[in-house]
Order: sequence, then C-alpha cells, then structure tokens
Amino acid sequence: MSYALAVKNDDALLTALREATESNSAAANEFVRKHQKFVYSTALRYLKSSDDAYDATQEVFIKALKSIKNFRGESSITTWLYRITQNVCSGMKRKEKVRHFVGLDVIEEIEPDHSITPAQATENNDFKVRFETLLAQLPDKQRETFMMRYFDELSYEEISQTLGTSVGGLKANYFQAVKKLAHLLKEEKK
Amino acid sequence: MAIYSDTSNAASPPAGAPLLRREELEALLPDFAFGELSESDAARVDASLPAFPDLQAELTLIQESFADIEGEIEILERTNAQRLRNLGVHVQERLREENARSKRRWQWFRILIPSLAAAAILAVVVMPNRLSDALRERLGIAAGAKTNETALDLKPEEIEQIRAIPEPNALQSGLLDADAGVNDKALADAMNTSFSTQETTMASKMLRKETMKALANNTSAFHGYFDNSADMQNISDEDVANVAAALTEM
Repeated sequence: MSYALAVKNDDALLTALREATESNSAAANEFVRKHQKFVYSTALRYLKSSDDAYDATQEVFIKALKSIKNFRGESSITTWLYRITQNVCSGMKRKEKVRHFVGLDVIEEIEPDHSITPAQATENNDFKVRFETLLAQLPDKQRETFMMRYFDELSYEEISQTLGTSVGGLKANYFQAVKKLAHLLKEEKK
Repeated sequence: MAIYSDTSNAASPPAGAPLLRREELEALLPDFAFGELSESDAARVDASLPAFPDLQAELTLIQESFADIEGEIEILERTNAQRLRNLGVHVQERLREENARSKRRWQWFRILIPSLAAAAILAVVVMPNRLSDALRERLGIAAGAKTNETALDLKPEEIEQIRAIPEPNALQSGLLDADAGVNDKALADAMNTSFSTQETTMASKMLRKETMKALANNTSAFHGYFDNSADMQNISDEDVANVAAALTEM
C-alpha cells in the first residue's frame, strides 16, 4: 500500500505514522513532504540563512517523527511543528552565539542550483534581499501573518491556532501587511 | 498562492446578499486580490467595492505591485522547493543513524550492567568482610570470631534488640541514626565500652548496611558518568581510566 497515494489528511497520516515501523518510511516521507515548506520557511525567518534553515528543518522532522506517538492532537500538527521549529531555531541561535563568541564561524558553502541560471540566481538573490528588507519594515505580527498566509498558504484557522490570534485579527493584520508592502514596492519602483 | 488574479470575471453576488461593510471588505481584500476567495465571496466584494473608492484604489495598487514581483517570487519558491527535494531522504537517513547509535549504546549497556552487577556483588562480599575485620580489630575481638557474615539487612526485631541495649551506649545512639553513616565518635566511644557478642554482631551488621548504601551511591554516579558520554562506541583511554578509578573506589 502506498501511503504517498493513500494518505490525504493529517489524521490518516498520524495513524500511519503511529503504526509505523522502520520499514514504513513512506508515511514519514509523506509527512515531511506535506509540512516541509512551512517548517523551512519558518526556520528561514528565524535563522536568515538557508543552510541553517535546512539543518533546522531536518532537526524539526527528526524530533517530530521520534515523538509522534506522544502527539495527543490537542493542537493542530502545524501548531505543534511551529513550536518545535521555534525551539530548534532558538537552540541553534544560542549555539551560533557561542560559536561566534569563541570564533568558530566558518564560511558558508553555497550549493549551486542547476535548475536556475547564474543570472537568475543573482537576480533572485537580489530580490530576496530586497524583499526581506521590505518585510523587515512590517510589525512582527503582520510579517508573521503575511508569511504564513501568502507563502506557506495556511488557512486563517491554522494561523490562528499557531499564533494565538483571532481569525478577525489575522485578517486585519494580513490586509495591513499586504497594503503596506504594496506601497513599499511602489516606492521602491520609483 | 497565486500572486495575481484577474477578478473582473467574478460571478454575480447571491440575490439579496447584503453589501459588505468597510471592515468586512478590508478583511477580504487581500484574498480577493490574490484570487483566493470563493466565487460567492468574490462576487460580494466586487459588488461592494464601488461604494469605497479608496479601497478600490488600494486593490489596484496591491494587484499591480504584486504582479510586478510574481516572477521573482516564483523563482524564489522554486529555489526553496529545489533545496527541499531530498529532505525526506535526509531525515530518514539521520533517523536510521540515530536508531543505530541508540542500539549500539544499548549493546554497551548489556555488557556494562552485568559487569557492574558483578563488581557490586564482589564489593558486597569482600568489603563488608574487610570492614568487619577492621571493626573486630578496633573492638579487640579475636580474629576468626564467628559473626553473621551473610545477613545484609537488619530485621525489625534485631533493630529492637539494639535499641534495647541500656544507655549509655554510643553505638546505639550513633549507628541507628539514619544519616550518621559510620560515626567515628560512636566508634571511639565504643572502644572504651565493653560489649556482648550480640552487640558486636549487631554493630558489624550496621557497618555493612552503611557500606551497601555507599556502594549504591557510587553505582548511581557510575551510571551518571556513562549517561553523559556522547558516544559509547568511542570511549577514550581516559574514560577507561575513570571507570577503573570508580570501580576501585567502590
């Protein structure tokens, strides 16, 4: 039975994972694939480095898969993963501070992405920096709401559970964030 | 999420549906701009917008600004997706590695625990004898005098017998104190006192009991040492020396 084809929702996925043995890696793969975009982008927002975010994402899924049998479903999977991501990223930041303090920083090696031309990569990196500068001008709550809704494509209900804000408040935050970004993009274009 | 959606072909609002208030319209505007609303909601937004020209202008600005960066955002998302394409495989590899490491650690414990148990039994058998010899020497009892070597715990009636020894009796007051351990003052006082054979046997038992407690404490420390060791497969010479030292202390 292929879990990749059969598993459609989190409940079914959780059941498959709880019954999982080492041989049942398809359910784990499906779980990772389903939530990786959200976990990675959350980690990237915290750590500001794609390599660190990738490492953090791996760590989050390892922790999640190890403790999935203890997950009681009191919150949504997204909320649970968000908390694990926050913990992992905070831990990494603390270690980074220590590493920086004792001078163990290394130069980050960037793996080339062959699906994108060098010109695109440069342009893309420029855009990334530009867009992050614009995002940094938003208040924290608006930025987090915008990223979760626009990039992670979470529903308002999922964001509400994760951030602990009412759906009405989130919609207002999202409107303000989108409006402000539109104005900033317009100014930048001039 | 779609960056830009042409909303000019939105369906008509349901007949009789009330127009949206300003704050309701604001709450729906971004999703409307990015084509994320249901047909009926989109139709309601479309029908309500003419009443709010400033929001109409905001909508136009949002759609134009985000349409300008649509291509760049797509590349950014593609880059991220590319980076994450093997994440599941990497996670599984690391899980397998961690499971294997955990199994190796258990294998070590399967060797270590019986070894510790054997060391503990040896210590229990040998050390109380040594201590009881020392005690006999200090109390002036002839070597080879018969004592109960095998009893490790005092029975309630034995404790009562010790308690029943008439005062002043330093062994009774000192050694029956749970926190006293081996009480030097009690022993010193005891050396100046005459004891019956029963009293010295009881004293010997008490000392062995204290030795057992000390041994149990050392064993915990010994376990703690290994719990902190990062990789049981790579125990250094220093680790071995520490283990040897701990065993000697036991």
